[in-house]
Amino acid sequence: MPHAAISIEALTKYYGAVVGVEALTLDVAQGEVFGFLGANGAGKTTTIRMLLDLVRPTSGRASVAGFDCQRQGLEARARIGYLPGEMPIYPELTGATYLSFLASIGPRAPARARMDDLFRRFDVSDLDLKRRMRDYSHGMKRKLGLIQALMTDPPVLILDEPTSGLDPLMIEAFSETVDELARAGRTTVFMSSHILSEVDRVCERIGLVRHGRLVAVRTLAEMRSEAPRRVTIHFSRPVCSDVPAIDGIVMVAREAQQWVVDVRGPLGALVAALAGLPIADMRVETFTLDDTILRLLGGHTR
Amino acid sequence: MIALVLRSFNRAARPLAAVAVLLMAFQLTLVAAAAAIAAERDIASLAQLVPGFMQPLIGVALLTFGSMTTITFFDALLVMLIVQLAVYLASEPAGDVESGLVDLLLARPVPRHWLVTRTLVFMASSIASLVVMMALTLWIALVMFGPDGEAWPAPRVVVSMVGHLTLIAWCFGAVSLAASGWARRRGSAITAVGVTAVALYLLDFLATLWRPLRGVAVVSPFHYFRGGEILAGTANTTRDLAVLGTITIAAVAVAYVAFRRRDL
Repeated sequence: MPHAAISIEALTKYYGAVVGVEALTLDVAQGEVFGFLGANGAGKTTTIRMLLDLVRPTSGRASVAGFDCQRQGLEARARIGYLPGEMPIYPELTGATYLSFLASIGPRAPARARMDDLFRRFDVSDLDLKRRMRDYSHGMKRKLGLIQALMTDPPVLILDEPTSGLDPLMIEAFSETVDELARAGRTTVFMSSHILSEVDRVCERIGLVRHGRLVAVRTLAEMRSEAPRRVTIHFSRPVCSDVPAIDGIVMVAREAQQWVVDVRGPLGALVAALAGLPIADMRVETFTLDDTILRLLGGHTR
Repeated sequence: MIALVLRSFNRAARPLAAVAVLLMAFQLTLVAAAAAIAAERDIASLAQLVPGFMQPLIGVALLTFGSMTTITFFDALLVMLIVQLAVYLASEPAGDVESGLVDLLLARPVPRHWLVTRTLVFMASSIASLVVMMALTLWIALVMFGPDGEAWPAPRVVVSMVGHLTLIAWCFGAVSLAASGWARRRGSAITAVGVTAVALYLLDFLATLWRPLRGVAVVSPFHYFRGGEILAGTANTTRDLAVLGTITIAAVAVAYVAFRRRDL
C-alpha cells in the first residue's frame, strides 16, 4: 500500500460509559476512495470528528497526510476538505458571501476556474449565489457544502453523508467528481454513507463499523467474491439423507422436500453431493453487496 | 482572525444598532428633561422626593443638573441592558457549537483559541464602543440642550462612569464566555449567566437596605459600581476597577482552558 493519507491507530473514544469508538485501526492510502459504513450511532461521525480534532480521543492516535490530528491539527486540517453531515449556515449571508468567507479562513484561496467548474457541475447559478442562505433548500445547502469542501482542491476529502438530500442528477454529478479525483490519484476521499449503492458506485474499499468497532475492511471486489449464493433445492419426494458436509456450504433451512443452502465458491461440489437425490428443481440466487454488508453489520439478511 | 471578528460584528449588527439607538435616545431625552427641570429650578426638590434608603444609590444624582445627566451610566435598567448584551455577545462560541458552525470553522486551519479570542475582541470592543458612544452622546446632548449657568458633569466623573460600566459589562461578558466554553447550547449559557447577573444585582441592592447582607454583597460585582458614590466622590475607583478587572481576566482564562479541552 502506498503512503497512508489517513492513518488511525487504536483510536478510542468513550463518552462516560458509552463507547463512541473503540480500538479502531485503519489506513487509507493516498488517492484511495474509502467508504466508511455503519448504522446510526456506530461511530462513523465520532471517528471523523476525531480526525478533525473536534473530538479528543480517550486513547490512540490519528494522522492525516502524515500530521497528527491532535498535536499537529493545524497542519492536518490545512490538507482537509470537509463536508459535515448537517450543513451549518449563516442564514443572513448569500451563497457567494458564505463561500467567500470560508475561503478567507481556508488554507489557500480557491482558483476562479475551479469555482466556476464546481458551480457548473453542481448546477449553481449566479442567481442562486445571490440569494440568502435562509431561503435555500436542503439540497442547495448540500451543494454549497460540497463546493466549499472541494474548492481548494485539498489532498484529503472527508465527507459525512455527502449525497444526503441531493437529487439523482446531483448524486451523479458528485459520483463523477469523485471518479475524476480518483483517476487523477492526487486526492484521498474518506466518506461515510448509509447509501450502499453510492458506496458501490464510487468507493474502492470500505470499512464497516459496528458499535464503535471496525468489523471489516475489504475492497469491493473482495466483498463480491466473499458473497455466498443461496441455492434452494426442491425434491420430488421427502429426503431423509444428511446434508453433505462440504467446505463453503451452510444449510440455512431444511424441510422434507426442500433445502436452502448458502454456497461460497463454485457450485460443483454441491451438485456432485446431490447426485442420486430426487431433485425436482433448483434455484440459485446471487447475494448483493447490500446483503453482504448488512450481514457483516449484523443486520438482517434475506 | 480579522475575517472571524468581522463576521461576528456582521451577525450582531442589528441588536447592537438597536441598543445603540436606544441608549442615544435615552441620553438625549434625559439631558433635555434635566435642562427643562433646571430651567424651573426644581432639581434640588427632586432629591427630596427620593426615600432615605435610596439616597446612597441615586439621591446624589438628583442634586445638580450635571449629576442628573449621568444617570444613564448607572440606572439599573440600562446597566442591566448593557450587562445582558455583553452576556449575549460573549455566548457566541456556544452558539457556534449548537449550530454546527464550529465544525465548518475548525475543519480549516483555524486554532481553537481563535474562536475565544474572536468573541472576546468582539464583545469587549462592542461594549466599550457603546459606552464611549453614550459619553459622546452626553457631550452632544449637553451642547444641544445644556442650559446657561448650569455646570456640566465633571470629566473625571464621566470617565469613571465609563470605566465602571465598561468593566462591569466585560466582567459578566467574560463569565458568559467561560460558560459558553462548556455549554453545548447558547441559551443555557445566556440563561445561567444572565439570571446570575440579575440575582447579584438584587443582592447588592438589598444589601443597601438590610445591613446583615452587606458582608455577603462584596461577592457581587455590582458592589464595585455604585454610581451615587462616584458622583459623591466617595467611590474607591482603583479598588473597584481592579476587582472587576481581576474577575474579567480570571473568567477569560477559564474560557480559554475550557474551550481548548472540550469536545465540540
